[in-house]
Amino acid sequence: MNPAENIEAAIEKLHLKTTARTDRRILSDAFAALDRAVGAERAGLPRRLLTPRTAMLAAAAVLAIAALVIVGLLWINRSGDGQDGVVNDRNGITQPVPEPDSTNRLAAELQQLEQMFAAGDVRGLMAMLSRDRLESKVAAANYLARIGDARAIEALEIQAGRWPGDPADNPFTRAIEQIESGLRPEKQQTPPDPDSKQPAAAPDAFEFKPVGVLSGLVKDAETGEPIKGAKISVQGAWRKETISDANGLYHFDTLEQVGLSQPANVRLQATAEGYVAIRDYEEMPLIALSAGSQAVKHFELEPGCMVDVLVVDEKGEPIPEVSLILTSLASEMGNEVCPSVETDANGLATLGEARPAETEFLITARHKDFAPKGHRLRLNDPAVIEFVELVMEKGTAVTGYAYYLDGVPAEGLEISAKPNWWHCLYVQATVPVDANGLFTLPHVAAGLYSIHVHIATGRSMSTSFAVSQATLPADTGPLLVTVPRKSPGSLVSISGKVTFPGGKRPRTVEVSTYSTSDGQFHNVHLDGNQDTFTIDSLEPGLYDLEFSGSDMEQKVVKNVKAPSSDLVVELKYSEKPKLEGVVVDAKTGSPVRRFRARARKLSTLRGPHYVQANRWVEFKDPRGAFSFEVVGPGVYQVQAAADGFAWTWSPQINTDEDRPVTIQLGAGGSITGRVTDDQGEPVASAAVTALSRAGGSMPTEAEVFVSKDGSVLTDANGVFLLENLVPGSETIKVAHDDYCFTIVRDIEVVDARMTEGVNIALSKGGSVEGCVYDAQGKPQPGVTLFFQDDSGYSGRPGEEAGRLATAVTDANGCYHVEGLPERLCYVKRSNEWESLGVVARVVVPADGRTLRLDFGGKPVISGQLLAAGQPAANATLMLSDPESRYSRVFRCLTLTAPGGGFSFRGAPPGRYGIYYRNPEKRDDWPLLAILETTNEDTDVGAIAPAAGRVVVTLTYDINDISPDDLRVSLFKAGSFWGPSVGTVHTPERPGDPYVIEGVPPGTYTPVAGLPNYMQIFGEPVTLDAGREQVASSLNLSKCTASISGLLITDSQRQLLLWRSDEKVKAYLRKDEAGSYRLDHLPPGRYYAGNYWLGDAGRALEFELAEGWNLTLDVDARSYFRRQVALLSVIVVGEDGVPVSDVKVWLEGPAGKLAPARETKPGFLFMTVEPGQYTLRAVGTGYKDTATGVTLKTRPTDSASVADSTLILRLERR
Amino acid sequence: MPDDRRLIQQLKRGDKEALRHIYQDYKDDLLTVAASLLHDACAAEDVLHDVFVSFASGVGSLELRSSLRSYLMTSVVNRVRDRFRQKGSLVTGLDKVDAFSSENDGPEQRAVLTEQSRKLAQALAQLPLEQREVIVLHLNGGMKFREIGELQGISPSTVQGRYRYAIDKLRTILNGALRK
Repeated sequence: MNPAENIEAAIEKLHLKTTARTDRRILSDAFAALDRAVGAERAGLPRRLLTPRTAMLAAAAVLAIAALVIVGLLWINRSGDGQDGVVNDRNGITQPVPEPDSTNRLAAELQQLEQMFAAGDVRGLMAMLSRDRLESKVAAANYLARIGDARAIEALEIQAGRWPGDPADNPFTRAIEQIESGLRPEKQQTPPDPDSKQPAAAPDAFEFKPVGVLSGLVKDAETGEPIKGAKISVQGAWRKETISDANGLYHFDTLEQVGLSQPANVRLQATAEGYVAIRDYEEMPLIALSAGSQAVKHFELEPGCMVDVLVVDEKGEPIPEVSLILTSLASEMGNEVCPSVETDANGLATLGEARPAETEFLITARHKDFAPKGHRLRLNDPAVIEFVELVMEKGTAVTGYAYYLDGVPAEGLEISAKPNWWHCLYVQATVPVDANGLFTLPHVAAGLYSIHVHIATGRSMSTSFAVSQATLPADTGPLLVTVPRKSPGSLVSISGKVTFPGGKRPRTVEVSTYSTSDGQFHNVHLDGNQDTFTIDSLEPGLYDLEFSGSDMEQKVVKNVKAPSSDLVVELKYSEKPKLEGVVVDAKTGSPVRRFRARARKLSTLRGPHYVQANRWVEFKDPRGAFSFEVVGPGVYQVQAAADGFAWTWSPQINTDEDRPVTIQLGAGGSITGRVTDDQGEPVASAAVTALSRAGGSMPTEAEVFVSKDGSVLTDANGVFLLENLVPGSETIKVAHDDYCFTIVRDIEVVDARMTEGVNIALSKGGSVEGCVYDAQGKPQPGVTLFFQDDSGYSGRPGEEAGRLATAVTDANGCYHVEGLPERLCYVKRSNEWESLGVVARVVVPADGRTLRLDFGGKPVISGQLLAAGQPAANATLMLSDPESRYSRVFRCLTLTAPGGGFSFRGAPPGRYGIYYRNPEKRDDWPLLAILETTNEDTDVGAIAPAAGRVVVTLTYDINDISPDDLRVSLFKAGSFWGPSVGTVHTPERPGDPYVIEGVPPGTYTPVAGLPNYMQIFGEPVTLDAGREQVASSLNLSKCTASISGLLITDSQRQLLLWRSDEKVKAYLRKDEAGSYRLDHLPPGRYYAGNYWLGDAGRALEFELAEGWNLTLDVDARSYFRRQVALLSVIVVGEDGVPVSDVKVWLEGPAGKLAPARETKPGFLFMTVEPGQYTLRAVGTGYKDTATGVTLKTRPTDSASVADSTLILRLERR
Repeated sequence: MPDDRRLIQQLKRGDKEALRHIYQDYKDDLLTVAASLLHDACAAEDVLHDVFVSFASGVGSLELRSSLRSYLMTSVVNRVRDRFRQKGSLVTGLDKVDAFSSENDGPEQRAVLTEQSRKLAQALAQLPLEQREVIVLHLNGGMKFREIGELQGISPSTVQGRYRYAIDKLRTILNGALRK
């Protein structure tokens, strides 16, 4: 074993043992000390040095001494001043260590030399140069060379002159050369302080110079030390990689070595053992390479954590070929943090490297002969390789039956069961369903599962979705799975072909349609050569087919009949649009030759809202030119950044217009200020980020800080300086790990000037803690909760923008989060749709206080679910807002017990709806009941899916309105904005009534939907409790008026139109020619503009009579630019949770102003009158509260509402 | 660690078995750490003695914030540092040739270890005290970087830096020592 290779192992093996005599001595004194410490109780008891047990031990030890190796140390004495690292040869060396076995003088001399070298004893070594033995001399010379002390040169030169051998091999000459070149890194100097910020390189620091077409240094991100043996490779170029040397230097000398034959942009990957790899697309840097230039890219790799895993079966035998996946519980998407591995013949494998984190990780183990197994662990110390032993069970086999809605066995489909702890992107193994509908899941461990159905949709593609949840193995008989669609025998298909006039075709085409009858999207994917497509498993009817792809214009073909087989669709190939332009110096006009640039999308002109990636691309061009491929037709901006200039956004670029753009870079202005804590003490190393640099690249995220691009740190005095900012109004975010972040808006930046005095006080923020319970009320460990900020959150999974905190519950099911701002926080449970219990809540934290937010607990809302008069078991129920099933304020899911019983735990007092997951249709949640709750437990009794029906008869002129253009829905009476209720069945023959099923008792309005999102409301109709059906009618025969004209706007927005009695709603949208048209309008008085602003909101007013065709050119520019004051108010109690049953209003110059609408969980006020107002709130059980507010108007299409949100905290009476 | 707390509770009641248990568990590691830091087995035993006597004396007011291991190791390190601060208090080690040993090694391995362990010990001795502390506490003392950071008053990442730097330096010294 070579000690130099396994230093750590060797040091670990160093082990001293005490002698028994020492043990006796120490224990006796320690016992005495203990007695004295514990005191008088022991007084009187004889002190015993040796109890019978220690006597035996001592005897054993005496015997053992003979067998044990005696320990003692002889170390080289150091000088007495206690300063290590400074060698003082005054004390010199001790006597040569007598080797008991060796009588060899040479060995003794060599040892002596070694000690001298270790002691830095130059004079001693020089003396050894005059020894007889050549070996000794040479050894001495080598040591002197390594010490590098120039005093030795003279003595070495004498020896060099006497060298008998080949002059080229003269060790003394070599030694002199080495000393003279002074490059020896083993010089004995005081080592540089590792605590200093300089990279801890060897004392003779390596100076980097570019090599070849691409080079750089790879360093440890924490210590700055070079990393040797890191592999840098070019993504996509197979085997084009290079390894870094001892200085951390890597280089590719030619374009060929990178796999290129001409200049191109490439992405680089970096991996090194013990470090977190850079291999995710988002993290890989993009570099522009060309033969004539030398690109430089340095890497800083973070030390990563590793874990050794041993997988055994229940008998303890190792299991080979187990697939192991490592994911982070804090990541919503469950992406792997490192490549997956398989256990070897001994059941062992090593996972890594993962970025250390304080939140837990999950190891998922899979093997076809065992039930999958999950194991949570913490990985927060890269220096420690964790060890985990996993026991995999065979589990039990679970049989079940799967049928289509019409009772036909679901032969040919596949079933899988996903455990509720699953947190990775891998899919479970599936089992097939046979001709009798029978399937068997072979290895199921006890637990809660989400049952998935997999349906093949074409060659080697399939779709899958969850149909139900179940505790397995079930003791209530075989598992029954209802596939929410009809059997293939009763289903039809649409087939056809696509053509590309012009010859060029995109790489892929997606054909998709949405079926309202089964609530699913049906997709077909066409590859490069496929022309024909078939969408099957459709119920007969009419469908809108959407054709899309990344290299083509999206096309929608409406009202395609199913079945049909002769559809021919012409599609237009279009290259991805390009943004082109130049970057110049604003002062001199000359091109900026080196810069980075990125694109952001402001709006989509046509087609799907594809996301434009927020990624920098490096450009080097003598004309300062850039060219960007973007995702689709839209309005974009390009931001250019170069050293010494402000990061500047270009003017808007419309991809339909072929106008290259010029970006003028100026030095910009700067902002400086001081960051302190709430005591006034400076906060150092706080990150200050400017929105102009770190804002998002999609329109919804333009005002959200999505990164820390371009941020600066405050110095020891808390002072920061942000330079090169674009003149205008800037927003900054100040963040520090120990505090809650703060956002400061409306800071004026002036060109070539410094805006001073931007002083910010950070507070610790508020804390929130609580426990998470499952649907039965048991605490749940390992549950991930995401805290999302209102401003940066739109409910999408995997969303990082607006992420305030992530918590994972501990072994007791509890969590604690700190540093939260006093803003509305949406707290969402990961994997919310396949979890049970409370999955969504909101809270407003309070600075300096800890609030409690539980997911579960009290009160309990219970009841029983019946279906067709019988208890309904294993049904999924949800408690949510009565108007919307996607409430973010409170949502709770549960499964009914075998007797139909259910419970929802922990809902704050308020108004709720209980929804029922319809197993026969995907994503269908009919409302069963509405209830008001208090802090006390509530029993709602027996509830059942609504069986009521509303039958709507439509009257209209078939020559005027095509039945294909009509849709009918049912709204709750008085609701202008929906949502719709019940399931609508379109009649087969035009003229037959529409039947809407699944309607609970209540009062409703039938609504006719026409093109252009027009809705015409009928008369209200009431379905009494106990009644099965009620009839209503909608007469469209008088809808014969129309309006049309030019719609002049400079945005893509549409204008709302409504009739004065609120029975008609429509939108004015301009087409490609800039005009709008609305047909089939009933007579009446109409308004257009902002519905909530009352009189002030009406930009347009006109009358229509039957048969009129009104031409009206609308100039909406000033309307869209006008100023409106918005105030969002959230009313919370002392616990930070929104108060239900509260009334708010504003009192101002024009009198009392009611909220324009509810925003759940708050209220939104809108007015065109700025000024001072008083906000009043009255809530049951709380003190009346009033506060002054100043309302400022802003242009309507700017800024999120969130920063005009007022939090009102009520106190209990 | 639940065992630690139980032992401490028993100890506070004056239970000598608990003290013995703790002593047996930790004595060798503590001695190894002390000896590696001091380069002196005799002085290391003195340190071990002082640590345990002081531990037993102070048990009444003992409040474990971290692990017992960490507490005892800190105690050793403090005493070692005290000794270095007192000038001229170093004593020459015993005249015996060293032999670090492992119970599981056969005689051949013990001979190899002897040679190797001596070189290692010498190499360790050339490190500055702070670096030596990090190496020894981590590899012989079983302390985590976080705990070492608290002891040394620096952040865990700085501890890691010292550790890597020290290992590199040891490697360099030992590579040189092999080139004979």
